Amino acid sequence: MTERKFPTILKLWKYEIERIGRKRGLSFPSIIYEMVNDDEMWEMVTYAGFPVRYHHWTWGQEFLDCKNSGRMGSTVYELIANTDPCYGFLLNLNSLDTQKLVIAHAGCGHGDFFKNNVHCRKISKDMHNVFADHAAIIEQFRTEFGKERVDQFLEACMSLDTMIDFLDSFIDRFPIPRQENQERAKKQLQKIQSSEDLPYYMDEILNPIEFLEAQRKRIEEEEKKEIDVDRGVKIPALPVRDILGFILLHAPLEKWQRAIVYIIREETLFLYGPAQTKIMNEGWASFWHEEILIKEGVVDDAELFPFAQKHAGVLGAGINPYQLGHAMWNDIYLRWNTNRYGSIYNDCVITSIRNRWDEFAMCKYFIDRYGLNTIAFHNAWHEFSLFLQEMQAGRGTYLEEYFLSDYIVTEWLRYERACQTVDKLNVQLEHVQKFECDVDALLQDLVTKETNSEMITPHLLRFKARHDCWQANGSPHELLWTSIELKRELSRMYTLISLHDRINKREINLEKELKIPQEWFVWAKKNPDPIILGQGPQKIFEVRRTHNDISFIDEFFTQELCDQKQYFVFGIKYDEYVPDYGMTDVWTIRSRNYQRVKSFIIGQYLNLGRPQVEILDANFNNNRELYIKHLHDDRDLERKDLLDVLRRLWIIWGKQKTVHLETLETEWPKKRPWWEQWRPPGSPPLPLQEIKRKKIRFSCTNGSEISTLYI
Amino acid sequence: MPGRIWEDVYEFMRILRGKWRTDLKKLLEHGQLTFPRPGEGAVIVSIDRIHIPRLHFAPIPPDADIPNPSENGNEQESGGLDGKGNLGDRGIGRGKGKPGDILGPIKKGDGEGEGQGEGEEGKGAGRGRGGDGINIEISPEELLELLREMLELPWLQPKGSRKIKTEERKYTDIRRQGPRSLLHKRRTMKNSLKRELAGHGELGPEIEMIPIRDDRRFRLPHVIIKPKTNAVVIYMMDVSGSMGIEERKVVRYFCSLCSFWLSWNYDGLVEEWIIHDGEADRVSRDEFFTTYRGGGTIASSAHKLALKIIEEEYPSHDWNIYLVYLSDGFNYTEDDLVCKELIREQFLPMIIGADQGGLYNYSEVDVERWWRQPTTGGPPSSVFSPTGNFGKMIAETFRDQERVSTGMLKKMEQVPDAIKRVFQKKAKKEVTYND
Repeated sequence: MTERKFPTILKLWKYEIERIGRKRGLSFPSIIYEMVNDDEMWEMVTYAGFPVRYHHWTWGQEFLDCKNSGRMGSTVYELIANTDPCYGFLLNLNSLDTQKLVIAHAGCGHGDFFKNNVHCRKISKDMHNVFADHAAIIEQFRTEFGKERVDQFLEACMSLDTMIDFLDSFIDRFPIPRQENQERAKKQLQKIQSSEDLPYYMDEILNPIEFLEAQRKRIEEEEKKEIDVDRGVKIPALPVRDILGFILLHAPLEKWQRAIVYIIREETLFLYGPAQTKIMNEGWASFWHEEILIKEGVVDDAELFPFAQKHAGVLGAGINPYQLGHAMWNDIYLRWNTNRYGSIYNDCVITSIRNRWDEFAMCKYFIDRYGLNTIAFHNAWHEFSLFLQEMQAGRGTYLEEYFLSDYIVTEWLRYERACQTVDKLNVQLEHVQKFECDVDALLQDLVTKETNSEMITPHLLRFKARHDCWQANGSPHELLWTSIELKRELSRMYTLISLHDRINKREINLEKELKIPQEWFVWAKKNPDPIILGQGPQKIFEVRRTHNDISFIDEFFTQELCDQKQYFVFGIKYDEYVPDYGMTDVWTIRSRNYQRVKSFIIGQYLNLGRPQVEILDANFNNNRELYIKHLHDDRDLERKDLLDVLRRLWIIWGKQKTVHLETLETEWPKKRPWWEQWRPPGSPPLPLQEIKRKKIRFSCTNGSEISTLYI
Repeated sequence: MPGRIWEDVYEFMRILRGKWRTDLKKLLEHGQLTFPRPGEGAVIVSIDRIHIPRLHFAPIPPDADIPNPSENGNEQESGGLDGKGNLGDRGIGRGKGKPGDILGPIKKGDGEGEGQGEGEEGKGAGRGRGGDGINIEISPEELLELLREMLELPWLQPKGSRKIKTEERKYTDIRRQGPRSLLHKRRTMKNSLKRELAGHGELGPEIEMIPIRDDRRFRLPHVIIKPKTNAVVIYMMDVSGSMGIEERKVVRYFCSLCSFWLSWNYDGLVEEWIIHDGEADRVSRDEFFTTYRGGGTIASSAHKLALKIIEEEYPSHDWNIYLVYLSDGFNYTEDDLVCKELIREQFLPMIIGADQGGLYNYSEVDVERWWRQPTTGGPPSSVFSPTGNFGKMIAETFRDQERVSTGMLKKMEQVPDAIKRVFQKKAKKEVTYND
């Protein structure tokens, strides 16, 4: 039996890490941690973070796989499920620095994401109980109707669990049913109107007879379809993506069977939410554990190296959701801080602007504010040149070796508002200092109580005292800062102000004049819209709220990111000579074009990498046969599994009526012999041979045999 | 409630245990069994994962031809996604290198189109799920029972004084005491009925047949001890340069299955192991399964050594001698004749005779490799003959000799059949050397 209690020392660190998370604008539900050992962690992974799920042997197999992969060296440090309150599981073998990392990663990062992202937020948050209920229900069925019967049906449902509509909670895909007495809207022929001054015979040319005829035919068909729908001959009226949901309503099932379909659908729908934001979620958590632990200094010097090791282990090699997400969040942060988006950036082909974008952004910023070629503009530019020179020389807020050109825009914005910020900070500091007196009083009580352990220093107990006091004061945002942090911030501001003074008193000489190339003005004139700087923090919070993986990658994956992180797509090249292997087929880099990389990633994550199917007709042949169509996107279906799925669908569709599935079958062009493949260097690649596709329909009539039909 | 998972694990193991029995033939053919040394340990069976069928995408066949539009710097012209050239993309990776660079050869375990790739310093490879299975241990006795119907050692003659005993038990007798498991139920009930009838006088509904102690009858085994025989199996393997990784894998699987079956069935069977390239060596069992040398091939060296061992330690009038030779058939042509003479003149007289047992088997390994297939761009077949000549020579020379059998191993799947052919009760000669 392992000690499941969350150790006090971690509890104290949790207060501190959560304080910093809240300070930086994250908001998460209360999180309850449990310590688990290795086996229990794998169990939780198998059960997707829920301790009680229905019994099935597939979990056993997955568990053994997980344990095997654990033996091969992979570890799961934490697991957190999307519920309220969040339940997190920490591995009890983790060292203290890992636990800090994990609390920042899972608690602050994932917790905030689950609470705020629209795709995770929509889901009921009481899932622990729901899953446990499901387990009890299925157990009950097993005793009541026989284990084999229930298991057979359960397995049949499990193989259909990818056929749900994961946008189900957002879209009402069914049209509102028409009222009985309401007349059907009559459809009119759409004619192209001729203007008055054209002669009458032009009407025939504008609206030829075939055009009108085709329209009439289409309208007739649509009306017939509508009538069929009204009579109940055509079900469903529109293609349905949510096949399990449809089965639930229409299949001739017994009550317990219906309940099992419902359970599978419910659980999958729930698990789809987090699954379709995998890249974003992991990236977001990685972004924030880095911010909290390194930039806010939660990790002390001795722990820095182990932390860096773990961090690099996750984000370093290869490509995975953590790495990709982390890179993309950082990229968005930078791009929206410096306005690296929009036509002003994307359409720009002038190298002097692209290479020195930060300076150009400042130039445009001054032009927007002071106008082109005014004295005020030149003064501002002069000041900026001096500012840049001082920062690069390490006489500003950064040491020389730490300064990156990425920082200049945000630092300038801070520099501009330094005076106002100082006033604000001073007011806040007063509040905080008053507040900290209360904290000190509370701390005295705590210290006298907790004297038995050496590990619990007053320094750590202060975190708890601070948290309790903060809650007692009504949890205001401004009290999340400590006075030390505020003082550090103030001293930074004073440095900026002193720099400002030195510049204004002309104590600094400009060593090298920063010249503005003529094309900068031309480009700035062409793009009159004002440039917006320093939007990074707002932007990432906004993106976190509304996107899912597909839209996230689609919108924010750029060629620059692709080049910077060196992504590529690879494929197979035939018959190459490799030393030690001889002639063999090899993996080769196919492209570094970001569109190719992007389309591959999206292909992997679209519908969670599963084929999309929809029900076209549930009354096929007017015989209540089920007709399903696969939405082919250049990828074929695996034949053997398809047939098995069809057999199981037949079981679920009442074992009486035929089930059809329509898809396309591709005939891939065969590999050409090497003497035909060879081309002189520099010549264009071989043209693509024609890819033939045939429509094919599989029908399962009796649960075992499957007939195929090319249509 | 952690620990709940173990119920599922036990359930799963229960299903697996049922599965290996039904799938035994397939498992044997795919070489998913790992045999222990004679007399120790359990057989490890690697069973494929059971997967619940779900709709998923088929990988693009490995021989599909999809040229890359971005080769030779045409990326910008083709706009990346035009012309469907991206259909050939199998994964994404990270690292240096320019389009067209080679990342590494495709290995067997690389998942096809499984997505995630890895690149470091321009080197990378697709990473996917290989054919990993779940290992379960089964007792050799369990396996033997199923294998028993498949194989039997031929021409085992009563011989010598030592070593092999064959005994058979048949339950033909009845006695009054015995273990419960041997209770003869019909006899017992019959006795009980007799006793009741003796009490009541006639058959009726009031008769209750409840056996008492005296009614019980037990089966008694009758042991038939068969004459004792001696047998030695000499395995000879070619480990020369022409035997590649795949060939050796097949050969070793063949030998391990053979050895496992024989040694568990026949108590005290003696095994000898010989490997050869240019020279032959007598080695231990472990060395036999691990050594690779890579030199020329002189088959007669192994035969000479085998004959020497037989002469010194296993005189043919006391022993049944089984010679099992495995090679890929690339022997020096002059040496073929020497071998032929050795077998004909020296070995066959030892095993042929009214009271003699024994066998000479030659199995030729011919795993498909690129350089044996002219279609994949290897050298034409006139340079390397598609198979070696050794097998052809043996098969033709000893066509009428039923104690000499030859066989062909083209892939792992043929191993059980080949063993069956070697040790069938009446080994038929199968000539499979028609081109």
